[in-house]
Amino acid sequence: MLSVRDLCAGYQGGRVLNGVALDVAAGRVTALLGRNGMGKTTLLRTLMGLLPVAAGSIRFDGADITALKPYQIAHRGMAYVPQGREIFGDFTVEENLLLGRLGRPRSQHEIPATVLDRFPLLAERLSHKAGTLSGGQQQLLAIARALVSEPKLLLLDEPSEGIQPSIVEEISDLLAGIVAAQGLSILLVEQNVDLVCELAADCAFIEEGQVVARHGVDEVRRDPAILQRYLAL
Amino acid sequence: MGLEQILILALDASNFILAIVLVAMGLVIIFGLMNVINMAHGELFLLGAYTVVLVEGLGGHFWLGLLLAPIVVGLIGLVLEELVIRHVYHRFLDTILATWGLSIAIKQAVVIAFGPASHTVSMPLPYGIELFELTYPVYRLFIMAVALLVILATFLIFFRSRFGLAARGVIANRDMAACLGINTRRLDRLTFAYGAALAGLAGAVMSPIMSVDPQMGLGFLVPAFLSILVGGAGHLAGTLVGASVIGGADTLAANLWSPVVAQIVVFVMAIVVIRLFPRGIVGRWMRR
Amino acid sequence: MSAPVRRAPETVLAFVVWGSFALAPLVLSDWLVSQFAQYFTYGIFAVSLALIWGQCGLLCFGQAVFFGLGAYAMSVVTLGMVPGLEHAPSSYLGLVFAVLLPAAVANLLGRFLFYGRGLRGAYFGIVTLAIGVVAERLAVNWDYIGGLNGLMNVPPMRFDLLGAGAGLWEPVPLYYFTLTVAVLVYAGLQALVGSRYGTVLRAIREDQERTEFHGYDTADYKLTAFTLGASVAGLAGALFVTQFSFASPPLIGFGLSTEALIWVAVGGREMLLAAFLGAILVRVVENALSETLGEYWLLALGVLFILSVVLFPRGVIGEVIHRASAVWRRGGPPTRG
Repeated sequence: MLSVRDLCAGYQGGRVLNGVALDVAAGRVTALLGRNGMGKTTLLRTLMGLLPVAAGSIRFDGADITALKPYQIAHRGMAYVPQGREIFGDFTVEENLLLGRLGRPRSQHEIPATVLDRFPLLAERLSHKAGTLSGGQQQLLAIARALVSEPKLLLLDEPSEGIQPSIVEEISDLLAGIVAAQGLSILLVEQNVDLVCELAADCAFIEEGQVVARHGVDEVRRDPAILQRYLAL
Repeated sequence: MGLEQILILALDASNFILAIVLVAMGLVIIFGLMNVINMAHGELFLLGAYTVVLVEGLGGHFWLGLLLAPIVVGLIGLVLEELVIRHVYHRFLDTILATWGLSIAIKQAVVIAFGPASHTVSMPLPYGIELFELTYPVYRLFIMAVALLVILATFLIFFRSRFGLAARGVIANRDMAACLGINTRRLDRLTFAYGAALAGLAGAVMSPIMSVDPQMGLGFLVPAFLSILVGGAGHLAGTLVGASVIGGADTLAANLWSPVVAQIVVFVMAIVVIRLFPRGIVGRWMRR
Repeated sequence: MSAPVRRAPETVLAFVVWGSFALAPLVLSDWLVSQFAQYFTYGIFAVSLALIWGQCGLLCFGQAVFFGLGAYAMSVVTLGMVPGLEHAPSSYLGLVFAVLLPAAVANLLGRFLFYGRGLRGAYFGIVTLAIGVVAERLAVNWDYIGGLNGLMNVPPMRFDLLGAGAGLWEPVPLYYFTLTVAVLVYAGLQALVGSRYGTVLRAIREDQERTEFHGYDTADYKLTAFTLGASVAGLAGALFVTQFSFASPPLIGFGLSTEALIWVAVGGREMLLAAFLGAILVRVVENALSETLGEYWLLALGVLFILSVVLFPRGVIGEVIHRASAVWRRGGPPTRG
């Protein structure tokens, strides 16, 4: 599904990604783990086209997307739920969801019923302003908004951050369900090890802007030394 | 001051205010969406007026000119955006300079094409209407009607249409909107063209009651900018409030004293308001 | 962010430039010499703009207001129009007023514009634009200073010392006098730019908030820079009017403010010397071409301005200097640090 080679990128201040190589298989959840500042968010932003690629390549669903702009990448089936959710607080829940479809031609502007079915909480609150939702509900909204475009790959940046455990549980079940039912691929950046172990099939570890290891999630569960090594737990 | 004089003053002020709003709305939308301060906006106003001059010069009717002006200026806006503005998006202060350069170039192009002297445009509705005991020009009422319609239409597009929702999304969070698949490039182009068309329409509709000369752009650019700053750059409604304050004060002061004094009074008042409410009047009100 | 001053090539360039100007009267006609004396005043004006804009990021659309204030102040004093000073129309006093009046106005404005929540870059530009428009209108309508016609017969600079005096109206002495002032202003401002103060100004230009976090009162710095820039512009105006002998509203007006922006944009905003040369270059070219091009000159200038902004953010001259010093560095002596 996603194939990254020798990816180098960064901000004006300096290089953050130093030759990242990563493969994300279709229909599975791949977790990306690492300490703060190692380049996790930068990688997701670069994949989504928000940051320019200095070197290397990104192939998605068989095509080279290295030089594409964010909206073009979105049209190809990649969706992004950033850290901090970034929902449109002044707009209603319905408008937030609708924004996920506006990139498409006129005829496809409605919110898919399947999404509303999966998120009954949001379906009840369509006319509420998004800013009035709780943190957990906003996270659900952010995910729903990303799913509205029926993506093939979902990039999730720390979905559990600052959310109460019950909602984290709900998110985990929801995502597992969608992956199983629709074959959605997910690249999950997370610090919450429990969530990772529940949801992910395998784990990539990033350090100093490079992916330095891959381990299946069973291995990670069995051997605490792995997490200790990369997350300094 | 008698009742009639107050009424005339109020009507004249409304006239001026609504014209400023037409110009300022385009500026605010372009700024909100693209983070571009279009210093050439006054020249787009100018081009609208000169479109009418050109049409009349070729034997056409004023109404044709009025119809063509927003289309012509909208297209010119598209060209400007494509050729110049999109190259300097990422350098905010430089967009100001680049558009300033455009303003100089456009103004001079107009001087070359039409000469530096002023032109007159025919008065299409040269009648007055009886209001109480005075006669007020019908055309001025027409200007206000057009302005109100266009303002209403803009609000509807912005707040009730899918396109408007996408635009507001981009204004709220450009990166996120792009990640959601909204074609920000196309939106930029359309928005700039729309803002330009608004200015062109304003220029065309005002042309019969103004002296159409190459300097007329600045006379509307400055009040438009001040209105935006006073009202608040973050909200479309702010433009209405700001224009009312600026336009109203200017008309009143010009009437009480003189146009020169009015300009100074308005300017001082504007910077005092901005100093007190850096986010503008509406911005301050929204914070509560 | 541009690198801090690179000493060797710039100093050499400065010597070459000022040296050439010093020697120029040997080869130029009297008429050209007096033209250049006038261009130098524009150059000083451009330097004032490069200081506040290039160094501190204060994009001022009305810098000519200060130039014009200096010109008018000088005229009013030396024409004996100031009540109480009718019998002492001294050039020295004129200069003092020409420097202080714009500084005072700038300081007052700055207190409004930089403090409180402050006006960031673009809004500052808009307000200065409005100021320029208002100021010109005021000047046209104020009869005391001549209204639309301005003040004529402004006397040339006069140096009186211990009773003996000399007027400065011969081309060559005028040229050298103006050149000296230009060199002194340049040297002084360049020293400032290279000092810690200059570094702070540039930091404010790059990221005002971060500079605030580091404990600097950015409003203060902006205020002093703006005031200093205004006084330098005022000085330039005074020098100009003693040569031109005529002060009128266009000297305050937004046309001249725009021209100054063009000079600095085309020359180079981040190097004082490049801005100075930009003013001179544009003026020289204008002289050469405006005859042939007529109305198209202003159009060409506008297009040149746009191209400079889009393609040469360092300015045309600034870009040339930048490339040249890069070549120098590669081929020349080993660089330090």
